[in-house]
Amino acid sequence: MGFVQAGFLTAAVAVAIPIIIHLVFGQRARRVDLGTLRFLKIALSRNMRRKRLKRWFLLALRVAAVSLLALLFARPFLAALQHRDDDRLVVMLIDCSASMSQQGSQGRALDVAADRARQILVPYGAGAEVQLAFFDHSVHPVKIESGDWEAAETCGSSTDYGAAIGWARDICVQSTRLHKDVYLLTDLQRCGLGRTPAEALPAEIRMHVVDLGAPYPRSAAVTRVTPSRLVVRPGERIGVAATIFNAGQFPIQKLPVVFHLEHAGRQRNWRTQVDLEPGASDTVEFELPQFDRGVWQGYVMAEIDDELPFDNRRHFAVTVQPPLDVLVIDGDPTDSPVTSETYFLESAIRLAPAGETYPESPYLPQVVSASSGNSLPSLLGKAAVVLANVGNLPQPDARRLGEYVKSGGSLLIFSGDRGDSGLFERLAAAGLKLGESLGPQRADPVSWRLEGWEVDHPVFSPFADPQYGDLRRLTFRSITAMKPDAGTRVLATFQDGSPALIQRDHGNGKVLWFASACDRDWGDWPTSRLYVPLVHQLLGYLTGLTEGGPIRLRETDEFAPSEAVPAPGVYDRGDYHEVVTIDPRESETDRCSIADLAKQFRFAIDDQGDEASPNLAVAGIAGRELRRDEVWHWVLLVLLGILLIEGFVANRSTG
Amino acid sequence: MSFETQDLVDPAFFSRLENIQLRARAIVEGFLHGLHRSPYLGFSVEFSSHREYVPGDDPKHVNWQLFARSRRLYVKEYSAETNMNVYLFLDVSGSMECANSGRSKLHYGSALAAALAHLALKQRDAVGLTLVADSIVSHLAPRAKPQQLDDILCAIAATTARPPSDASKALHQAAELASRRGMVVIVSDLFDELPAIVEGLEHLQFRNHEILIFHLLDPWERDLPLSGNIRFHDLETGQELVTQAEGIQQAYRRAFAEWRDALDLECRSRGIDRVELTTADPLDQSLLDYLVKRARAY
Repeated sequence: MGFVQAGFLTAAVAVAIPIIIHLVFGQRARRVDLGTLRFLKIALSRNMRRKRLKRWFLLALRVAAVSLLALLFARPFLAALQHRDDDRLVVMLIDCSASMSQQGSQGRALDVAADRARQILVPYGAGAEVQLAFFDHSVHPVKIESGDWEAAETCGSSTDYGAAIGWARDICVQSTRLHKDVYLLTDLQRCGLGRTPAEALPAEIRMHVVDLGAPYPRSAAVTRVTPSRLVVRPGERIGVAATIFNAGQFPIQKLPVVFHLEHAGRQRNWRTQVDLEPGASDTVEFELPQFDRGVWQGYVMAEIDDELPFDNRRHFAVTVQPPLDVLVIDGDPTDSPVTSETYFLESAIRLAPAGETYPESPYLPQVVSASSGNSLPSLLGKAAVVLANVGNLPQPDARRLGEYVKSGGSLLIFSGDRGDSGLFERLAAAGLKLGESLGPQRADPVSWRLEGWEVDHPVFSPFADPQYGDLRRLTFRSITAMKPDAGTRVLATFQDGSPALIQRDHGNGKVLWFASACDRDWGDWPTSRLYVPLVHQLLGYLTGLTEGGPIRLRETDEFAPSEAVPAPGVYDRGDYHEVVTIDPRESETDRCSIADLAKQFRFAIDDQGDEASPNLAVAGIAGRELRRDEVWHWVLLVLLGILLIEGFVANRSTG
Repeated sequence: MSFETQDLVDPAFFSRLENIQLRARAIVEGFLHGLHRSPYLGFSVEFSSHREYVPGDDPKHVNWQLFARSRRLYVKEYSAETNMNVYLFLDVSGSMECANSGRSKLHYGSALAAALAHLALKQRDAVGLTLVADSIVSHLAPRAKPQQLDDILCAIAATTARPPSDASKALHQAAELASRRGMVVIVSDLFDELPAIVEGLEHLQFRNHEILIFHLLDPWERDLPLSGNIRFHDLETGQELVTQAEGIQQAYRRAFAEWRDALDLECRSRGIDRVELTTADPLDQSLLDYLVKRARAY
């Protein structure tokens, strides 16, 4: 036998009360004179044994009554009363969002939730099917048998009730079990509502919501840290703005805010203070000095001891580096720069007309002519090499290009009227097999248009929505038809299926080949507003900028359910640095009621008791729900029976 | 002195007894002609009956006229009214001090004895008083003189609580003192062993006394109408016993009833009248009821 409220067993010492009454009051009697006690002695001798037994029986009844009363409040349960529950499905949803790290009087809310879940599951029989999952912005099912869930960590993401309830709904709908119970253990953050819509729960599903949140935690959060630039040019100075939010219900005066930055063992700290009204936020700006080249990482921290410490610190990083060098090989140079093969291309890469520079441009193009007969310049430090209408290459240059790509370099090839047959052969000889060139194809009479492309490819992903640019509107008068090699990947095609863009991975590098020219000889697409973004997408893909650049910001909510969500911080991923932060919505302490939850997701509230005290603190939740194997009602029945017997016997008994 | 003599003689009570004639059921021996019949037949003034002659009868009582008619010998028997010796035995043992109804049995019994003495003297009977406890405490021989009532009242008033009763010894001693046959009125709670009481009664009957017992009880002694935890105190032995009254009420009443029934059976089997009175009963009414009933019976 176990006890839900074992502390009440201490009340069993009250059994001393009837014993004391028995001993003390037995000695107090009023005196009555009789002429003789002979009849009294006869009467007593006749039922002395019975009376003594009655007295002890009465005492035993009273002691038992007090003991049972203590037992009643201790809420005993018998695990043996569990039945198999072969027809029962239990779905346990435990909120593991960052706010569940909240510290209550009984410890961390997530630990309390795990403990509560364990209590809830105890009464269910061995035959019950139990599905357990943690959830934040996504659902993370765990195997109940493993037991690992009992020591779970917060997932660090924000709350999404829709995802969790939708998952539970799917489990329930697929189950053939007759009785279906869904338990939702959460702190009822309002920000979890209205994110992922979920269908209404079927009527046969009983929803139980266990509130684990505290009503008005004292909480301050750094909700945003925004450097004016993530990529800083050497010698350039930037500012960083940090937003501090008071999520609590009381003003915070002179909240210390620390700005920390470090690189290669060097650390810099700045401090300031802010005053925050309840529910208000303030922005603190830090002006950074000039930094050396490299990745500088740090955080902004609000120095406060509150109930939600997870959002007191927010990380960021900036990289100090020059623009990426891009070597452009012009295969058809002319005396007039305007008619040059690379006139539009260079301007697009530089994001400025010829002879001008634009500091925001990520690339610094260097144009060299391929017709001079000179060999290629040094490829060391080049982020990418672009071949524009280069019909052929000397074999040594082709070999250097092959080695360059193999070592991690990037090569972008635009076709042209010089033909690609020779180029393909030389590159193939260097290990870069792109395919077989079938020669130029002219539009007759219909222009070539892009018909299909991999919309999820980083190159084309910005063009997935036609309102941001419809690539089908680009027209080409000529293209170079080719038969791609088996090792290549066709990323886009023209209307007849001819490859428009192919990709070849070679070693650590990549090669992109575009079937038309980058100047106006084969079409007017360089004058299109899509030319610059498409060129930057091509280069960006090759140099890694399309996937976030050297500093990539990622909130924990952006991690796929299958991915392990790291703790907030700055991580070196090789080609880039990843800054992991928590969704600022998780810092909002507004709570919803169970009724709000039920209304949002259209389920009936099964436990009125939970609704009656939605703001019950974590400390008070233990033992609120009845266990199915509790036997207190039997104890109550026995107690009432004993009291009845006691009353009956006491009125007919001697002292 | 436990009470004054005035307490025992209530003029109003006595006035109600004026017209009551105490009649003895048996014929007692007496030397005054009164309302009582003599136990001696054949030698007085009033013819009673005939019986067959047996050798030894005085020939002067033979009814010769009847012999002439029937040729059989019959002798005449006569009965004569006479006065009566009334022996009042008042129990003054410790148990008689029980006074749970506000009046002790001794007080009640004393008043009763005084009333009986008054009645008897009013009809010229000789009245004596014997106070008994563990033995004879005091004794007044029967007298018919008017001063006898004062002597009896003084004797009663002078009595105090005595050691535990010893019915056997006291009744035997009293029987020896009551040498002339008459009526013995015992006023007692009779809280003694039944065989000893019966022996004493038989001794009195052996002396040809008519016995009348006024059995005095305290109401609580008879019914035990109590509840709660009670420390019962024995007035004779001083012994105490603590118990829950309501728990033993039934058993107590049953034990008491068994004892009373046994006593009653012994009395009835010997022709002894036993009148049960409690100190809660009005003395005059109880006595009147009994005397009226008895007067009708004779």
